[in-house]
Amino acid sequence: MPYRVERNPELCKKNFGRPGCCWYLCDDRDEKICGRCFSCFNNCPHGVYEIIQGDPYPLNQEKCVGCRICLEMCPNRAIEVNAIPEDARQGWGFPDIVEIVRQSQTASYKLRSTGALRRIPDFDDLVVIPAQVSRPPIDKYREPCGTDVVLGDRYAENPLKIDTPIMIGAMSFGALSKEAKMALAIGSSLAGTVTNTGEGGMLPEERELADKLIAQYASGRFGVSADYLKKGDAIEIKIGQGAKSGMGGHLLGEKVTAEVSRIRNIPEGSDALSPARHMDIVGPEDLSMKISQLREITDWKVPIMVKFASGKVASDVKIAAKGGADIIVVDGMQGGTGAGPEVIMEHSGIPSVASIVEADMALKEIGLRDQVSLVAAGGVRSGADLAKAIALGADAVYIATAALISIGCRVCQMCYTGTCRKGIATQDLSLRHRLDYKEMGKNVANYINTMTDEACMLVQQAGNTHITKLEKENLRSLTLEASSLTGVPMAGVGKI
Amino acid sequence: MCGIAGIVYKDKKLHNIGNDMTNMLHQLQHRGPDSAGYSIYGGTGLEEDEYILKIQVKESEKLLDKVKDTINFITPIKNDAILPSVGDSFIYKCKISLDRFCELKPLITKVDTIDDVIVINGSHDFEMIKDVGSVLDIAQRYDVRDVKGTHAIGHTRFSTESGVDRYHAHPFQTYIVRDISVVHNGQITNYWKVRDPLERKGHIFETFNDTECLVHYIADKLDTGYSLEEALEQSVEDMDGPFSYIIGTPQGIGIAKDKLGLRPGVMAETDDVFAIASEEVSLREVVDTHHVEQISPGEVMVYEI
Amino acid sequence: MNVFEINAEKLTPREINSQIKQASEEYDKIIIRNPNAKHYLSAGVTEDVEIEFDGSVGYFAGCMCEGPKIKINGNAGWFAGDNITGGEVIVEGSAGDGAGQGIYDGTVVVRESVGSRTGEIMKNGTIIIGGNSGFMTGIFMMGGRIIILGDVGDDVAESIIRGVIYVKGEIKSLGHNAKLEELTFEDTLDLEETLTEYDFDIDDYSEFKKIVPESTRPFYGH
Repeated sequence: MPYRVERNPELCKKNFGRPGCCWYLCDDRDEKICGRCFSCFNNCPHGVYEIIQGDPYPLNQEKCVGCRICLEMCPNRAIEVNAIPEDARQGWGFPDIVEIVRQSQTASYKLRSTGALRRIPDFDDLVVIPAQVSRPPIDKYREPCGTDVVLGDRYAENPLKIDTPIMIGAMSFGALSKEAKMALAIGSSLAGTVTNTGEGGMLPEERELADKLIAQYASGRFGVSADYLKKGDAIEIKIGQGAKSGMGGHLLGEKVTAEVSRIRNIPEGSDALSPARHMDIVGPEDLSMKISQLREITDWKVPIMVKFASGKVASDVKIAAKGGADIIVVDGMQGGTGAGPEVIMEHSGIPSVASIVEADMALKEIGLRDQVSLVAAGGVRSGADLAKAIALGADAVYIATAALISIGCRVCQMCYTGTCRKGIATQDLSLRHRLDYKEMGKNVANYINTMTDEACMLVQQAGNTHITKLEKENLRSLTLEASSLTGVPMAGVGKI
Repeated sequence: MCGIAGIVYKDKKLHNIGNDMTNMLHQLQHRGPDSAGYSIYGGTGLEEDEYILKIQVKESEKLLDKVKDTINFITPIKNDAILPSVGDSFIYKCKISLDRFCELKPLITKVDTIDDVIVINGSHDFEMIKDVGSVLDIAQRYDVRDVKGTHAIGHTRFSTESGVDRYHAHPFQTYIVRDISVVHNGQITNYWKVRDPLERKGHIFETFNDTECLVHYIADKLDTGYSLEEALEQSVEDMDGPFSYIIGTPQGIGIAKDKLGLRPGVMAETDDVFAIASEEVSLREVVDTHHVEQISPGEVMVYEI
Repeated sequence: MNVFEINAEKLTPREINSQIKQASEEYDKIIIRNPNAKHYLSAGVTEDVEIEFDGSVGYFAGCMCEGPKIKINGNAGWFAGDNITGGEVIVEGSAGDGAGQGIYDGTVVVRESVGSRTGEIMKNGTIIIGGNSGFMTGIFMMGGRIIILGDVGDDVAESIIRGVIYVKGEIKSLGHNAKLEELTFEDTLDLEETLTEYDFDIDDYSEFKKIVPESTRPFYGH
C-alpha cells in the first residue's frame, strides 16, 4: 500500500510550544537552530525526507511504509500521512515495480523486519458467538472469569503457572536494547506472566526484573551455559520462527556492539547468522535426545518447550510430543522478526489460525492433548485474537510485535539497521535514552491486562467462566477461506 | 528416521543372529519408540522355488479361509502357522512354491485386494519380522531371539510424516529383485522426483514412505546392471536430504550416508563379524572392541560374504 | 584424595547424573564404571571435580560442564563436550561428529580420530584432535582454537568468522571465508605449550598449517 506524505510549511514553522520536544524529537539541543527542528528528516527510518534550501521535504514518497513516526514526532503537527489506493496495472503494482528497479540496481534481495504484511486469513475472519437463552451469558461486571493457566506439567517438577495466558515471545538482547528488554521484563512481572530471553543470552537485569523467564535455546547457542539454563523458569528449544521459517536468527553486525558481543561471545561488528537448524537436531530422534539432554542439565525441574515455524505442523508437533516436550509452540507466518529476507516472510509458512487447529488435532490423534500444552504465536494483537486462539485449541499465546508497539514501536520494519527511533531495536545509547523503561513496563502490563479483560468479555458472553473453557464450537467463520483452513463452520446455516 | 543396525558373520555359518540383532536394536530403542523390525538372512532353509508369505489378517470369521482359498487357487499352501499379534489382527505365515520370482508380486496384489488383509512380506532368503511396539516386546512376540542366520539388518522407528502401523514399520522390501530389503534413518527430501520416474517404469508403490522409495530405487539400479556398491554410490548422488540406510541382500549388507553426513553411522570389525549401527552403544552388544570407525559423509560401504 | 565410585551398569542416565551431581559436591574424584556408551553422562556439572569414565560414553558426554576435568577411557559418541563453558573433556579413544561443538571455554581433547564438523559454532576454548577430523571441521567457528594432528577433510573452517585452526597433516580443501596464513614463531610456542600440557609429543612444530577467517562479515555489509 503506497502512502502520500505531506508537510504543511506554515504549521512546520509555528512556534514550538511543546515542552521538552527537542531532546526527544531531534536530538539536537542547540536552541539556536530549534526553529528548524528537522525531526521528520532525522526520525524517518526510510529516508523519505530530504533537506532542500534548509527545509525538509518528503521527496522520496515511494519509500514510505506508513509508520507515521515523522507525524508522531513532529512538534507542530505539520505532517499528514495517508494511504492511497493500490496503483496497479494488472499484477504490476507500483510497489512491485519499485522493488524490481531496486533489485536490478542493487543486485541484492530485500532484508527487512516484522513478518508477512500481505492479507492472509487471520483471527478477524472468525467471530465468537454469544450465549442467549439456549445457554446463559455470564455477567462481566458481577461474575468471575478465571484467567490463570498452568503450562508444562507433563514431566517438569515446576511447571509455568501464570495469571494470564498471554506470554511475551522471544526477542533477543541484541535485536532489542537493554531498556526494551527491561521494560518487557517489568511488564511481564506486573501482569503476572512470563517473558522470554530470545536467542541472545540472558541479561542480568532481565533476570532480576522478570518474575518468570523462559531461556531460549536456539541454533546459534549464544550465551548458553549450564548456568544460563538453570536460571530459566522454562527452556524453549527454538527450531524455527514463523517469520523466517527454515532460517536461523539474523543479527546484523550494525547491532553487535561491545556489550552484545560479550554476552554472545562473538566478534564485535560481525553478523550473528544462526544456523538454519540446530547442528545436532536433524531428525526426530535428535530432538528427543536434545530434550533429554536439557532435562539432564536442569535436573528435570523446568518445562522443556519446543517452538516451530508452522509448516508440516502435524508431523512436527507429533514428533515433539512423542519426544517428550512439555510445551509446544506453533508460530504462524504472521510471526515477526528483527531481520530476515522478505521473500521468506511473505511466501513461506502457513497462517496462525490454521496451525493452531492442526497442532491441536495432531496432539489429540496421538492421545497426548491433555499432557502437552500448546502455545499459539504469530499476529496476536488483541483480546479477541487471544479468545479465538484459545477456542481454536491453544492453551496460551505469545505476543511480541504487539508488546513492542505498547512500548513505542510503530512497525517501521527497520529493526535490523539498529537505528530504531524509539530506542527499542537499537544499541545506540542516544536512542536508547528515549525509552523510559519503567514507564514502558507499566504500559506493557496495562496492555496485557486489558487484552486479558477483553478476552474475558468474549469468554463470558459466550457463556463460560474460565478463559481456558472456550472451545471451537464457540466460533463461527465469516469467510470461506478461514472456515476451510480451520474447520470452523460458516456463520448461519453454512457448513464448511 | 530412527535407529539402524546391521551385522554379518564372516564364516557364512548360521548363528543366533536374531538374538544379536535384538540386543543391538534394544540399545537403539531411544531413537525410535514407535515400531521395530528385522530382516534376517540365510536361515530360511527354503528350496529354490519356495517362498514365505506373512500376511496381516483382521480377526474375523472366515476371513482367513478366504485368504487361504485365494492363495491355494494360485499355488498350494505347503504349510502354515498363525502368529498372534497386538490390536485386532494376527499374522498368517505360509510357505508356497512359485515357478518364477516374478509371479510373487501378482499373487501378493491378489491377496491385498481382500478387505482387512495386508501382505506384510514375501521372501525367499530372509525372514522379515516387523511390528509396532518396543524391540523386546516384538522379540518375545515372534521368538526372534531363536531365529538363526548369517547376516541381518534391523531398525527402530520414530515416525515422521507417515503413519505408525505394522505395514509402515521398517524394513521395506521390493518385488523387483528378490530378497532386497532396506532400513533407513533419515528422510528423502526429493521423494517425488525419485518416485515419479520409477512409477513410470512400472514400479508399484504401496505407501508414501520414503524408505519404500529407496528400496525401489536400489532394486531398479541392481536390475539394470549396477553392482550393489555402484547402486549405493549413485543413490548418494541422486537422493537429497539427511539419510543413512542399510541394505540387506542374500550376499551381505551395505550402508550409504548422505553427502553432508547429517545422520550417524559407525562400524566395527573383528575377525568374526562386521557390524554397523547408528550408535556405538549398539555395536558394543556384538563386538568387543574399542576400535570404532565413523562412516564419513557420502561414504558407501558394502560387506558381502 | 576423596574418591567416589559409581557402577553405572544398571542405572539410567538420569540416575547416573543425579549421583554424579550429588557426589561432585563432596568428593574430589568420581569414577564411573561400565558407562556402556550411555548418553548425556555428567551433563551440566559445575563443580571443580575429577570425573573418570571407565569405558565408552554415548552422545553429549560432559555437555555444558563448567569446572570438572572429565576423562573418558574409551570412545565418545557424537557431540563430545558439547557447549562446555570451562574445564576439560579428554577422550582417550575416538569420538563421533561435532566434538567440542559450541564450546565457550575450556578444552576438549580426543586422542584418536573424530567424525565430521568438529568444533562447529564454537565461541572460544581449545579443541585438540590427535588423529584425523572429517568434513566441515570448524563450520561457523566464532572464536577459539582447533588443533588437528592428523589430516582434515573437505571445507575446513566453512564460514569461520573468528578463531584459528591448526592442522599438522593434509588439508583436503578450505571452506568459504577461510584462508591459510603464515605460521608465526609465537604460534609454534603456543602450540608447543598447549600440546605438551596434554602429553602430545610433536617433533616439528613448524609443520602446522594455520587457517584463519578472511572477513568477519562474509554475507552482509561488505
